[in-house]
Amino acid sequence: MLLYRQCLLVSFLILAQINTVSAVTEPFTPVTPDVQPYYQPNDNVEAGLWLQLDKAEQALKHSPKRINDEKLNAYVNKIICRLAEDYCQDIRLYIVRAPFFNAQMAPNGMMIIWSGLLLRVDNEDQLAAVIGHELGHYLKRHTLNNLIDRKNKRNLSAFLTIGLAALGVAPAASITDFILMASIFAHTREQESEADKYGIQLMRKAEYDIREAANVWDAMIEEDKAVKANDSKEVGVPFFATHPPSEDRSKTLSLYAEQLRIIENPPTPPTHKQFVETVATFWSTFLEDQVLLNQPKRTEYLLQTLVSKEKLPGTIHYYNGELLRQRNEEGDIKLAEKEYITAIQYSDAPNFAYRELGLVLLKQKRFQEAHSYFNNYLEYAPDANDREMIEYYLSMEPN
Amino acid sequence: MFAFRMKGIHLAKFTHFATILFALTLLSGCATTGNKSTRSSLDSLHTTSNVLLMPVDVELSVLTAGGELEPRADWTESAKDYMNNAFIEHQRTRNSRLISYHSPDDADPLSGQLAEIERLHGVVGQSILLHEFIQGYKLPSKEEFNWTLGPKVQALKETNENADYALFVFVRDSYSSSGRVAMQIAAAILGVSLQGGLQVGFASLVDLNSGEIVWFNRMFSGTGDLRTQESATQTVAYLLKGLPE
Amino acid sequence: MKKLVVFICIFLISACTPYTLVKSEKTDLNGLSVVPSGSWSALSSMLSVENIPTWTADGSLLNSIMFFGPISNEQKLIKGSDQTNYPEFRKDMLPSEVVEIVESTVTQLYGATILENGTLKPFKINNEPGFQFGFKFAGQDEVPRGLLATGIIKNDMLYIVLYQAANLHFYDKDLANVQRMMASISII
Repeated sequence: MLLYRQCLLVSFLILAQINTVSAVTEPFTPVTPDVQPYYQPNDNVEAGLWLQLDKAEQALKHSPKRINDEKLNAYVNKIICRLAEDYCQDIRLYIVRAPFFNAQMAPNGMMIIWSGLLLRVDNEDQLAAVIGHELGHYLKRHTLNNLIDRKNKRNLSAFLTIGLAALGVAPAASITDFILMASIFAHTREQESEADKYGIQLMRKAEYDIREAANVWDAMIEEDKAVKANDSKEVGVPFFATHPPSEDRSKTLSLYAEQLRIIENPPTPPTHKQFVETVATFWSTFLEDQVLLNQPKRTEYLLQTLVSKEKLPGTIHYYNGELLRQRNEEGDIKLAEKEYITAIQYSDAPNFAYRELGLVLLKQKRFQEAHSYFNNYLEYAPDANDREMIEYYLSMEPN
Repeated sequence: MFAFRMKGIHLAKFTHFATILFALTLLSGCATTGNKSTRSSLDSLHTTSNVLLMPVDVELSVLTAGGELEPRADWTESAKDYMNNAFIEHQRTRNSRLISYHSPDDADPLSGQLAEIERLHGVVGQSILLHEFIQGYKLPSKEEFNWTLGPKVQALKETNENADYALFVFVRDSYSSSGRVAMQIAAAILGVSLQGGLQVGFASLVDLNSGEIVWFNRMFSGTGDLRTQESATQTVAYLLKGLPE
Repeated sequence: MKKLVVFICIFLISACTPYTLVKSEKTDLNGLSVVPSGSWSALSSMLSVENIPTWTADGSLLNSIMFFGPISNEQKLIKGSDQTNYPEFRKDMLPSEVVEIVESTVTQLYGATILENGTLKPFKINNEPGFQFGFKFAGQDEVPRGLLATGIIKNDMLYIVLYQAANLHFYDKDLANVQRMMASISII
């Protein structure tokens, strides 16, 4: 069955070649999988690794950091199955709260998507590009081959030792440790190229816009550049620890896009709307997690570039205000005030915007105005868990 | 994570933190098995008690010549079977009935609760190893052996025939590959001692009404073997040494 | 590196005492004083994060109380290193903003996710206006934990006491004693 499908794909691609307007020197040579559906370990070494991976998966299943929302999981699972087809039943999805751009797929079929990724992608096709890329690693056994390599086994043990915290001696993890843990799944450049290609292939077959693949990587490189340009010591992207970025990548992906191009301007599939509807409900949570990292340069960059900028203007202005208020340099409080004022014009602004407005006005000793917004906040959020503190602020008067 | 020399003893690289703790208990002069319980004389539990055997957390690995641990799924699977047989045999000689753990569906909200209980048990187990078995690390504010998971463990009773106690078992076992054994012999000739495989484990008995850990045993050995039924039975005997009747 | 030091320490037992009993009398720590309630062991400075005074009842994997202070303007709760981004305290902060820096510090210190926010309210510290708040989080060990913090900004300096414990059973177990201790705090 699979061979038949591959024949179809190859003929399809050859025909596509003939139909394209621009001349292309090389045809797209399809990638073939090294694992079959319903795959089980072949030998003792692999079985031993699966043993540890299965244990890690058990812990992940009930992790407090796992996002269990049915709608979100169903939506992402649908994308996975659309791309993975016959392999769909072998893949189990785990979405975790981790404010970094990253996705990982283990040889036993578990796929982990970090919330920072869901925050950053613009549309479903970009999400499909990353998932397709990870599926490429899985189908070519890249991770498995790397893990079997002796050097990485030691790291795997350390990584999978979930539940064993330090003696309480030193901080359990800096962000660097967090990133290093992800590097257990590090890939070589050759593997990266192959996964890129396979991802594109899967995307095309599933009728996604393959041009979006290049856009995802470009966006990540831009983010990284922008943050470093500000002479910031803010730590890098875990994805790049495992997927070395290269300028060539965009070029190569664009080439594939040329080779595979059938339609010049594909219509916007209706799935984009579903992407926004499904993922938008989580943007606040994801942005909160981002703010807690205390990486204001990166947060600022995200607030300027996220597609949610158009969809959720109230939320974006609110977080602009948060950044300014927290930075608190000369004039920032006044700028923050302006952002919050703008935020509350929009229906998507969180109730907290009223509270923060009260805070910045209080800091400027404009008590009456502050009190008015605090009262708004208490009215819109009757169950506010900081009610008693707000009431205390309301009792504060000029002395 | 790291290897270091201490007083001429070369310790193999430990990748598992629990193994570090076990090693320390050995080096700080404790006996190879040592158990603690909440009562100095071990009372009988009930006239006939039901003991829930939690899924044994066991892993067998090969210790390669280079000092790395390679887990072996086939050894681990058969070790689980051997140990289960040994537990059943062991209980037959006593006044209690062994119940095997029935795990709820992933979709069942109970499974989240149980996962939290098991995770907490792991943390409490580590704390006991650190504070009860390593010389100098006893908490002065905690004079008696007094550890508990809290009464919410009763959730375990519901799906498991109302068991009175739960027995948790944790074992990590490594065996020298032939390459490693050759190195050991060579090293011995040169007068240097190399670690062979290590067997570390602990067992705890939890009162499923109060959550109290009524009995806890730690095992550390260089010679145990879980790859055959006979030696697995012996290991279980070591682990359950002193278990209240 | 610190772990190595601890291990070496174990072999030279005579040279170090990891835990000492907290005596049940008024204790001065870092500019604040507290009256202990219940049975606690104090961690030696070698075992505490950045030498911050820390007490525990069942071992720091299960519960702990950390005493921070005095933290001055533009100082951090945890200093960290070149690789970290711990936030700074500023003397003009309102209690709501202190909550933010504690959440950010805990998030980074334990690789944690904040699971739930608790209440924030005014709290008298020796009859002076302070605050108290809490939240639930889970760190890299995936164990849900509860946190309760009591603090005050006095003379432009922040003093804050953080209690944290495993959510299942342990948080509630010592809560009454902890609350008594927090009520007994005064700034020297």
